[in-house]
Amino acid sequence: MTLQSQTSDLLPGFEHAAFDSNAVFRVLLDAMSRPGRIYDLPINITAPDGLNTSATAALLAMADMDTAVWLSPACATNVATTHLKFHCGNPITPDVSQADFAVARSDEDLSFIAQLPVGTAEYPDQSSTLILMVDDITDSPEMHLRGPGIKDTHSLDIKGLPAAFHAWRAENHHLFPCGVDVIFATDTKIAALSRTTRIEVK
Amino acid sequence: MTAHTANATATDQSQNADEAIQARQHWMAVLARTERSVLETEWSNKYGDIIWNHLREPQIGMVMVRGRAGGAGQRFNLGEMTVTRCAVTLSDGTVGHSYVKGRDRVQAQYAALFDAVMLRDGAASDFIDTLAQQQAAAKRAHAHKVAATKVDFFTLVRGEDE
Repeated sequence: MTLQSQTSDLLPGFEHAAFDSNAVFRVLLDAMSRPGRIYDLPINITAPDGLNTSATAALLAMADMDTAVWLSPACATNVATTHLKFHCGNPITPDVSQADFAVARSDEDLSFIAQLPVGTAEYPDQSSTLILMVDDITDSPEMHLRGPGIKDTHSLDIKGLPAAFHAWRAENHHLFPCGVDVIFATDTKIAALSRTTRIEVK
Repeated sequence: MTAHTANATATDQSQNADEAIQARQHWMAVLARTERSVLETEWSNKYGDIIWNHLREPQIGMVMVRGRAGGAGQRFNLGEMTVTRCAVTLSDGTVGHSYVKGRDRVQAQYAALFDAVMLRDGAASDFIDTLAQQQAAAKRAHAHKVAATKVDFFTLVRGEDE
């Protein structure tokens, strides 16, 4: 049964496509407008091999046929690409400079982040969004965040975030209005950094 | 000689794959033309105890239908039509798909279920054959009715120019 073997490893997407993607979109919107605040993933979903639950939910809610997604080598499993193509119908691009969404694990080689599109002065919205899968997010005072959406300061700790990331963030901040936004995703929690957020590392 | 045999096997395999695809196209087309109530009754009578899940719940969308004048002319957009699609998975992992005309989510769901059952063990072949015969008979009857009213247009030579 050749036909069957092609499709039998597919996983289900959102249980209720409209309500669930709406709920995830709302959380992403809140997270992006209040950078550094930690939100719980509002739904339950099966994640394919290579992606974690929140990253999968974010992609299912945001990606469609007009958004190119770049997956890091550790994320680009067959199951993950098939899952995204089936449920979102989005193109998977091998070229990181074409990506609207880039997905990676924090313990991987993050040198690609320098090539992510940052948008142009006329169209800063054409930048990409980095979805970084991390092990844990807490509000212990490792990083102090300031900027729009934050009253005074906000503390955030991302487990296993490399020093190179902070150097890149500092560069990224100077590019305003261009720049890359970041979503941190654990299996159950989501936090975001907008391009305007300034970070002081303790 | 070995290479020759291998070649022959490869051709056989691709032929088999083609046949499998054609067979599946046939039953998916038959299911897509079958009314919801027929599918529903047959499913609850024979397969009601099968455990299954939605892989993609029924979604309504549009497709652009394209045609060629006379089947050979320039391609043109005939118009958009409403289509409902669905994907289900049986408890053993078999995945069934359906694309049906119109907005009937339940019909799309049952068409996908029957597709999955056909992929798994072909259990519904008799049901599909009966439906195919009924549809062919209905199409013939309609063609008969239309043929009876066919008008051939032709111009008589009027001889005015001579």
